[in-house]
Amino acid sequence: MAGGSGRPLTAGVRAERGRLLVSIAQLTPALAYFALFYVGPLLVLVYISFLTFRNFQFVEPLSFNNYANVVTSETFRVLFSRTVLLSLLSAVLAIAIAYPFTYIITFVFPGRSRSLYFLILVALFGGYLVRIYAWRTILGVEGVINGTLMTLGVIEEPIREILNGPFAVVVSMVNFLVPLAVLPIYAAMQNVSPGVIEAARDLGSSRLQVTRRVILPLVLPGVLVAFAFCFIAAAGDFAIPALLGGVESPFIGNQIQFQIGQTSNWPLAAAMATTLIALVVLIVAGVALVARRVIR
Amino acid sequence: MTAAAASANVASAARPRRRPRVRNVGPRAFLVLLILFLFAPLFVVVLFSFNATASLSFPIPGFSLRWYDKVLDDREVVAALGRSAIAAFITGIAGGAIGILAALGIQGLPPRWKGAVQTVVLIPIATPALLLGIGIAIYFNRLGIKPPRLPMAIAGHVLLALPFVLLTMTAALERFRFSLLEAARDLGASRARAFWTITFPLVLPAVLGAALLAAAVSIDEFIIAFFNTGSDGTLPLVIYSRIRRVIDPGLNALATILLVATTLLAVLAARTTTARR
Amino acid sequence: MTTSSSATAIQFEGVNKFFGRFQAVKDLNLEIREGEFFSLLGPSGCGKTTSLRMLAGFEEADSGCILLRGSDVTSAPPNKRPVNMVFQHYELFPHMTVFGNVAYGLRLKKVRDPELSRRVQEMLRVVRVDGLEGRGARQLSGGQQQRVALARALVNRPAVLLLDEPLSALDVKLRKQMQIELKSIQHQLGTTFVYVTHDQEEALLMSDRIGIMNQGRLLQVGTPREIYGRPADAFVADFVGSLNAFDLRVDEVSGGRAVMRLADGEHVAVALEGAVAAPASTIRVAIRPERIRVTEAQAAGADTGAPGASRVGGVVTAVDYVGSLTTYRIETALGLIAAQEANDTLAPDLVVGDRVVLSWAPDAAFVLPPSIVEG
Repeated sequence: MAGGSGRPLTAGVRAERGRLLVSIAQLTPALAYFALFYVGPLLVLVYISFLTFRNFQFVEPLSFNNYANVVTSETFRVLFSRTVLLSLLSAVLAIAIAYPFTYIITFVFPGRSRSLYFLILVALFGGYLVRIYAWRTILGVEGVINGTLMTLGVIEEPIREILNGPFAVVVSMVNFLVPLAVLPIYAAMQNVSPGVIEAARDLGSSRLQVTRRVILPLVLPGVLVAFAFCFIAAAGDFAIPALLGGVESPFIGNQIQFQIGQTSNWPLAAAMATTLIALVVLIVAGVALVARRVIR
Repeated sequence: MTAAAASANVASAARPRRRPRVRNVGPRAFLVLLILFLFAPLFVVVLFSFNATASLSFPIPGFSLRWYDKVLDDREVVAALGRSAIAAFITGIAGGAIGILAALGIQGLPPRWKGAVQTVVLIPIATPALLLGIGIAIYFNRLGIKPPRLPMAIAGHVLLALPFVLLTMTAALERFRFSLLEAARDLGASRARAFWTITFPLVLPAVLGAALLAAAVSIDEFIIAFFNTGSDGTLPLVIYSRIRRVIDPGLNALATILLVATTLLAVLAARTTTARR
Repeated sequence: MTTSSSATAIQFEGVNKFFGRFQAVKDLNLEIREGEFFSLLGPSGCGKTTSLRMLAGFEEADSGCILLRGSDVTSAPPNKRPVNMVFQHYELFPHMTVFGNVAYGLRLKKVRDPELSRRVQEMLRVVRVDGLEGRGARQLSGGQQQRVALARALVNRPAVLLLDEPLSALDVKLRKQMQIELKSIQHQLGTTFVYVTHDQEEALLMSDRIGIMNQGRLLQVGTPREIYGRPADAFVADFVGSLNAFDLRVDEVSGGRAVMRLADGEHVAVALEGAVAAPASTIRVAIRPERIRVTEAQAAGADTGAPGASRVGGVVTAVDYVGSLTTYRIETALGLIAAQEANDTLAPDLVVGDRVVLSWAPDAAFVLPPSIVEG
C-alpha cells in the first residue's frame, strides 16, 4: 500500500472512506424526499406564478403581470402591511415571554427544568386548531367571557370588540408561538454555564447587566432562530385571522386562500405567496443584521 | 446592654415567628401565569364538552356526555377520525423510517459536514406551511398525477415531521455511547449482534418517540391538509368547517377528542425524548 | 496454576500505527509473558492506549504484527480474539442487570444454564459483588461498576485481560483499595494482565514488569525495581518518581567510580556501572530525594569516610511538610537539591536558612543516559 507519494493508505483511512459511503447511503432517502416533495413543489409554485390566468386555465406566456398586480394593488399593500405588522408584534411578544421562561427554568429552577420543558413540548405538538377554537369559545360574541358577564348581569349586550379584531389575533397567535420560540432559545441557553453568570456577578454586574452583556450575546443565535420560526409561522398563517380576525383584519394568507378557493386564480395566489416569502426572508435577514450589531 | 446583644435579643425574639421565606416569588408567578395562558384555553374547551346544556357561560349547570354521543354518531366525524388516524400512522412510520436512517447518516459524517446538514434539515420548519400546502397541491396537478387527496396531505406531513424526527434522533444518537459497542465486540459479539443487542434496545425509545412525534405533527396539522384533502378532510378540517356555523356544543366534544389524541401522542413523544440519559 | 511463567503470551513485532499524519506507535517490539501483570506506563498521548486497542482489535496496525500465544491476530476482529477488556469508563450495558452484563459474553459462546449461572455467580464472588446480580447497571456505585466490568471480562476466561486505566474514575481511597484487590485477583486466577496507566505509583505497586512509553516509543521494559532504580534515560527517571539531576565534573576515576572533589574535603561519587567517564569530562548524574540523608551541620561531625560515599554542604531554602514525609530544598554547590526524610522520631527539625550536610551511600546515585526521545 506504500505508494511512491506521502503517507501510506492506512487501515484507518480505508475504514473512514467506507463509513462515509454508508452515511451517504443512509441520507439518500431523506435527500430524495426533500427533492421530490419540497424543492419540486416550490419550484412549480414559482413557475406557476409567472403564468397567465385565462378562462380558468393557466397558460403561457410567462410574464411578471401577476407580480405587478400584487405590488401595485392598494388592497394587497394593506394586507401585506397588516400581515407583517401583526406577525412582527406576535413574534416579539412570543420571544418576550419565551426568553424569561427559558431563563427561569434553566437558572432559577434547574431542578424542575426537565418537567417544565416537557410541558412546553406538549403544548407545541398538541392542539393548533383546538387552541384557535378555544380562544373563539372564550373571546367570542357568544363565548365564555360575554356569556358569563351576561349571566351575571354585568352587561346586557355582548362586547363585540373582544373577538373579531387584531387583539384576538395577536393573543391567540402568541399563545401558539410561545412553545415554538422556547425550543431554540432553550437549546441555546443550555450552552451558557451557570459559572459564567456567577463570574459576571462576582465581577460586579447587576442582574440586568448580566442578561444584557453575558447571556443575551451567548443565546442570540437561538433568539434569532426563534424569531425566524415565529415570524414565518405567523405571516404564513390564515386560520387565526380567518377565525378570530373578523372582517377587519385578514392576512395575506386569507387572500391567497380566497384566490385559490373562490376564483381558482392559482398564478396570482402563487405570486402572492412568493412575494410573501421574499418579504419574510428580507425582514428576518434585516432583523438578524441589526440584532448582531446592537447586541455584542 | 451593648448594641450587639440588643440585636441578638431582637433576633431571638423574632425567630420563633419567622416562617420559611418563599423565594423567587416573581419567577414562580411568571411560570404559573404562563402555564395558565398555555393550558387554560384548552381546559375551557374540555370543560364545556361535558356541559349538560348548550350555553357557553359559567356557572355550568350540570355535566353530561351527550355531546360525545352526538359527535360519535356523526358519519362525517367518524370518517374524518379514520382519515386522521391513517395519516398519523403513515406519517409516523414513513417519517420515522426516513428520519432515523438520515440521523444515522448524519452521525457518521465528518464534523464539518455535520453542522451544515443539520441546519439544512431544519428548513421545512422555517417554510410557511401555506407555501408547502399550495405548492404540493399544484405540483401534483402539474405533473398530471391525480392521486387520492389524502396521500398528498400525508406527503406534506412527512416533510413537516422530518426535521422534528431528525432533531430527536440526532440528540439521542449524540447521547448514545458508541464505546458500548466496543465492549460488546470485545466480549465476542459480531457487528450485527452488537447492533441488535446493544444499539437497538438503547435507541428504541428514541425511535418510538420520534415516530410518535411525527404522528403528532400529522394529527395536529391543518394548513397542508386544508389545501390538499378537500372534502376528504382530516379532523382539524371538520372542526374548521364547523366553527363558523352557529354555536355547536358538539364542537367542544370534537375538539376535545382531537386534543386528547394529539396530547397523548405529544406526551408520549416528549416523555421519550426528554427521558434521562 | 499450570501456567508456566516463561511462556510468551503476547508479542508485538515492529508494530507501527498512524492516525492521519500522526504516528501514534513507532516500531513497537515487546514480549509479554504468560501469567504476568504487565503495565504500559506513560503520559497521555504516548501510544499506550493505542497499543492496548491494537491488542483488543479496535485498531489495526499499519505495519508489523501482533502474536497472541503464537498465532497472528494483527487483523483479527475484536470478537474473534481470546482477550477481554476492562474499559476506562467501564461501558456496562445500561439496559441490562449485573447478571445480564456478566453473562453477555458467555451467552454469545452458547454457554447454557446451569453452567452459565454457576460461572457468573462464581466470578461475582471473586470480585465481591455477589448479591447484586439483579441490580440494574445504572444503580451501581463507581466501585461496584468497576468490579462488574472486571467480572464481565474475566468470566470469559480470556487468555489476556486488558485494562485501560480502569481506576482513573475512582476517588483516591477507593483507587488504593482496588489496586491491592486487582493484584490479588490476578494472583488468584493467574491470568495475564496488561494494564495501561499514566500513574507511576500505581504501576510500581501492581506490576510484575513495566513498559514505559513516550511519544509512541517503548523506552524501557523492566521490573519496578529496575525501572525505578536504574532508569534507561532521563525521561524515564523523571517520569517514574522525582529526581535530582546535576552535572558532575570528573576529577578522578577510581574503583569503578567517578569522583568530584568539592571544597572543605567534601566530594560526590557515582558508580560508573559500565558508563565511560574520562577525567576532566562532565557526566549527568541523578539521585532520588529519599536516598539523601539530611543532617544539621553542627551535628554532622567528621566524614564517616565509607569509600564512595558522598557528602556535600548546603542551606535549606524550603521545607514542604506532607504528613509522613518532609521534602527539603537545599541550595548546594551542585545546584538546588531536593531531599526527602521520613517524619519518624529521628527526623531533623529544620527551618529555612539552616546549614545542613547532605550525604548518601555509594550506590545511591547513578549515571543518567541521555534521553532516547527528543523533548
